[in-house]
Amino acid sequence: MTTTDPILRTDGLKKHYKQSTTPLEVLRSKLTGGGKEPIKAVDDVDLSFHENEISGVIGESGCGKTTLLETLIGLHDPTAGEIYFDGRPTSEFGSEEWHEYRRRVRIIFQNPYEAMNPKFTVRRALTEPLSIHGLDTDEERLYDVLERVNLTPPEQYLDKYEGQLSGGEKQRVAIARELIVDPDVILADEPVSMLDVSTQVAILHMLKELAAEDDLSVIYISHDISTVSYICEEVNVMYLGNVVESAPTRKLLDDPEHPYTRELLRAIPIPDPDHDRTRSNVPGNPPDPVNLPSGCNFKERCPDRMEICDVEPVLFPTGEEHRTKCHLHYDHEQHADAAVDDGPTAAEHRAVGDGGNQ
Amino acid sequence: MSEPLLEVEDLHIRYETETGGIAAVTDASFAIDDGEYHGLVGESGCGKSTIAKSIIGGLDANGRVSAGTIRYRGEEIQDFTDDEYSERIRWKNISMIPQASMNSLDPVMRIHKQALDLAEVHTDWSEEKTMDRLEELFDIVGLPPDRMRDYPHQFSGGMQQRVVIALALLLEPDLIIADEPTTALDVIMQDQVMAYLQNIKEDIDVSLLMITHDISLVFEECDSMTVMHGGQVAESGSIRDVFYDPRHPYSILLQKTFPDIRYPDQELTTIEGTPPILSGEVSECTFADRCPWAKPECREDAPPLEPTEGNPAHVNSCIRSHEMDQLAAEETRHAEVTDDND
Repeated sequence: MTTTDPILRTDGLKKHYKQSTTPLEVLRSKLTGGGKEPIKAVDDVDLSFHENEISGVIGESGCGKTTLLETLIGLHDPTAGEIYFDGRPTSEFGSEEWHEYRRRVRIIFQNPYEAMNPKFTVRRALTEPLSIHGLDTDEERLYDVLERVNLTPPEQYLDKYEGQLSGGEKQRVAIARELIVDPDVILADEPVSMLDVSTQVAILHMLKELAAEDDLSVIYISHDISTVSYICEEVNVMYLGNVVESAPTRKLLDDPEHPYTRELLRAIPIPDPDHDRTRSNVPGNPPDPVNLPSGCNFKERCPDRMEICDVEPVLFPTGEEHRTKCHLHYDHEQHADAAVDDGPTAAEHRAVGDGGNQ
Repeated sequence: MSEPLLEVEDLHIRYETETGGIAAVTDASFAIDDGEYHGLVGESGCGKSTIAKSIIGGLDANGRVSAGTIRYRGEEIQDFTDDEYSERIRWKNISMIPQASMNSLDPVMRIHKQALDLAEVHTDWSEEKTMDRLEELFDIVGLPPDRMRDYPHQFSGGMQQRVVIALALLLEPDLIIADEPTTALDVIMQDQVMAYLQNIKEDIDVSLLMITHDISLVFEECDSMTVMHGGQVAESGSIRDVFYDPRHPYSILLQKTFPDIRYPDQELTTIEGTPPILSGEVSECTFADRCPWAKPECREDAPPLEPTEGNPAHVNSCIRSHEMDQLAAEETRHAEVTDDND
């Protein structure tokens, strides 16, 4: 897909939440070293994001996608692992570098109805990020960014208040506000789920264009696989804090490997009265991230459960740009021989290993 | 032909506000037969939830049916008092699964107690009969009967939704109205709830009016459908009528805005503009401002719902419906021209 270095990359990223809340409990767990198991919201996630590319992160509520996003933007310190931005680890950032990072990595939130200060005009909403980052607030810049998000003619919008805009227009202003500081990465958290379908498509098209034309890397986080597959070149599926499968979109749709991905795809309704869809078969609910079963997180609900699933599988390269965290899809002996390294040698395992999945 | 279970005819609903009246529903008509699953689709603000509320007499205090009729088994019910609705319609004959219905359960009352309360208010059933019925329904919606005595919080979101469905079916109604029954659920949970709704259809003789913005769900789960825009019915008919032979521009375009996971490369359409907010009398097609094929006549009068030639059960409110085949085929070219103008 891309040969350039990723603009943003995570390496073994973990974000665990402690469960001890009262000071007494915290003290006790410090003294005894025990205490409750942490909640593993994000557990050992390796992802790479490239410029000019839209990558999707999908999963159901509680899968950790929002915690991942909040950790990426620096709202939480990772429990373990590292985030690399433009090749540099963010853990080494000083406050000035963080400031610059926050200019170059921006977020679009889910709810455009609450994203903008109702007392601000569009002009003020757009100039605020500029002044925070010490950039020029000339009129041309405002016009330009409004045109890029298709709010034309710009002069009609600059002096409007939030209440005078429709839902789709609000989301466009929210996007313009992030674009105006010329970022490298946009994290989009369910950016269209609150909008009507007729407006959704327009916003999706716009994100697609922006990624292609402005060297942006867009990370699109959503539970809605239909929209994800419509705009993303690559999709990462999360289940309970883990990435369970990553693949180019087309590959993932045509040949999902992880049982969870397969069932997730089956659950999507098809707009065709004569299409006879096999319904998904995932009994029960996602288990509590507090007391996760040992082994594979998905085993309790998995239609393909095996004995080996009590052992945690690894996220294994099963094909070109395709990684799957499921025992069904790699050869265990081959993996055990070289369990220590996971880089290029993994491809070799594939060659000699379970070739049936190619 | 026997008479429909529910018939909405020429319905007008208005909300009075401090700044004047709002026409939420204008001249809407559709009908649901016994055992039929009917989908009501449209964007936010199109009037679909308002119609649902009016059917069980649950309009907000400032809303009223200003003209037209709602007939349940032939009897006009739109002018019933609240007591009459309570006594004769709600729960027993028509029950409603509201939006975000998991919040509609009483959090401090066990499920079986809530069922017994319902039966006591609306029927003369014995406790035993109610419990037997609840057990049967728990089975149909895939909940273990030994959880009938649990509190709502002990169930997950998807399970709470199924509890609400079981309660809605408790008093053997003929019609359930489900307002966005799965919007708050993840896709796998949604699929489960829909599977149970289909079980119900096989096991119990009940009709469903499903209100949703998701046209895919309607095509999969319903027999017939009504598409609404700006308070008007754009088109109504069997799901196959609307899918294979859509006659109203809005239903044609709406279908093209929905992604189909089978064809990720298919280009999706945008419908320009937003639905109008309608004050005063509505005397135009409310889709005219967003319609690529609007003519001056579209703004002169509210279009009547007319049957499609040769198919009286398939109605639409577009005065150009007979040319739609041709116009929609030209649409691609039309879109290119508009792009150039941008």
